[in-house]
Amino acid sequence: MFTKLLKKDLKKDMRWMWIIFVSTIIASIISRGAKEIGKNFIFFKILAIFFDSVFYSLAVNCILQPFLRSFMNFSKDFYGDESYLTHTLPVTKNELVNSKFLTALIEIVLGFLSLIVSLLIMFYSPTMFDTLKTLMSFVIIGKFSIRLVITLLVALVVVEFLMFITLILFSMVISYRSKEKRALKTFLFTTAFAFMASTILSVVMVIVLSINGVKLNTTSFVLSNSAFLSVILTGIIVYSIVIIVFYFLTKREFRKGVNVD
Amino acid sequence: MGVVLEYKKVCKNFGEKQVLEDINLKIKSNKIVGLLGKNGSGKSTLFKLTNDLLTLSSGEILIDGNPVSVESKKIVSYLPERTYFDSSMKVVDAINMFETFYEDFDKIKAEKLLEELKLDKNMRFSKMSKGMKEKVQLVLVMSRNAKIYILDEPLGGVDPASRDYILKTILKNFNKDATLFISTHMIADIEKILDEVVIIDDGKILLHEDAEKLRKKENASIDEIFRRKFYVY
Repeated sequence: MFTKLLKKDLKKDMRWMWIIFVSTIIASIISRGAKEIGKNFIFFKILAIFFDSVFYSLAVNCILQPFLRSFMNFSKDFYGDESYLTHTLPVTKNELVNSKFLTALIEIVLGFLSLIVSLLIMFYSPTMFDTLKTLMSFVIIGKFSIRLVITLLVALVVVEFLMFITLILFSMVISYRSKEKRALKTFLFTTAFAFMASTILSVVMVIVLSINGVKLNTTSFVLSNSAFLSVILTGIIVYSIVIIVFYFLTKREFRKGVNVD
Repeated sequence: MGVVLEYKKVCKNFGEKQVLEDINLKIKSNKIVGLLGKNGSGKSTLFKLTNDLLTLSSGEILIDGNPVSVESKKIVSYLPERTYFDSSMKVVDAINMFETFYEDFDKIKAEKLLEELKLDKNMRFSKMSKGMKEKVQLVLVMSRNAKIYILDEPLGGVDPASRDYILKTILKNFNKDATLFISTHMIADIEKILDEVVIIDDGKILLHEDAEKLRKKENASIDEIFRRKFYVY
């Protein structure tokens, strides 16, 4: 039954979300193509400028839409009018929550993949990674793999997005128990939990940096290769732990039941 | 005749407000039972608790011997008082969804009923009136071969001309071995089909009796008895 539920949830969003993802890639192809062939043609220059702006607005949506849709769907399907269907389907509360989390994860990853592919189409050149490496060398000293650094940074951002979704969904579950000021309570709880998570991360970061011999009272902040990787990995691990903890808390609280309007 | 639906000391509070108080009720199989009450008397709350849309404050609800769970949802076909389909969906998507999730759903029956009601299955819910959406939902709910049908105000948004047709649709299509638990304000429209009557007021059960016996005892129609009880003239 879980597979059916996941299919339903994905179908509902992907029905139109794929249009954003594909359009972003198409906009990047047109923009890059117009730039490549249109160096001496004013028409192609205008086309490139136009599709540049189309690309950037779509790129923002590649990231924001899956993020916003995930908690909008959670609210609509579990507490809005559609909850009358959701809660009467012969599926467990666990399956309902799992499906929503997995849908969010798949859509966010697809959003980031579309963004990365379209960015590569827009900006790829044989020297691109070298340029990025030069830029990163202001922060990292020593030998490092730029591809690894970029991969870890993207992973950190994805995990951070997922953490925020998890915090928002948990806040919703506990705020929607009562009938009053649900949106305000959701906002306040999310802010409090996010503050808590970032405080924990800061403390762990300080410990990790100290272990790596980084002096925190200096104005220049250049890290060694291993210190930089430790910092990024620490971020990923701390955020992942927060996700896991709040995911199980969400399931536990949701199993206690809902009170829809 | 076995009990299919049992409420044991059911209470529901919203904060300080007590909406249902010590509800004890047994609904037998193979009966059409009307749940009658004024607005805000607790009818929908009772149905929502039965369908896992609200959490009990105390007490127990047993559906065919099981508490409210996946097992109970497999045998209960519920029509809520509001429309619940995503407006971007087409009727055919809703049919497919019911077919996917409910083993007892009869797709051929649903398509036949939609045709009878002149509802286009390729139409989106966003293009439909409230009454049309309610008809589609009723068709889907009645196309399940469920053991229990719970209908919350099925005639609420339907025009008077369609009410008889809707009632006929309900009676013609519900599984004959099933129980029909139905709430309504429109008692006159529905009383002729009822086997039993439950009257609820202020979250308490005032009366639970056989409809025919009640009519004979009071020498009046259920509609009249209800009006007398609540002085609504």
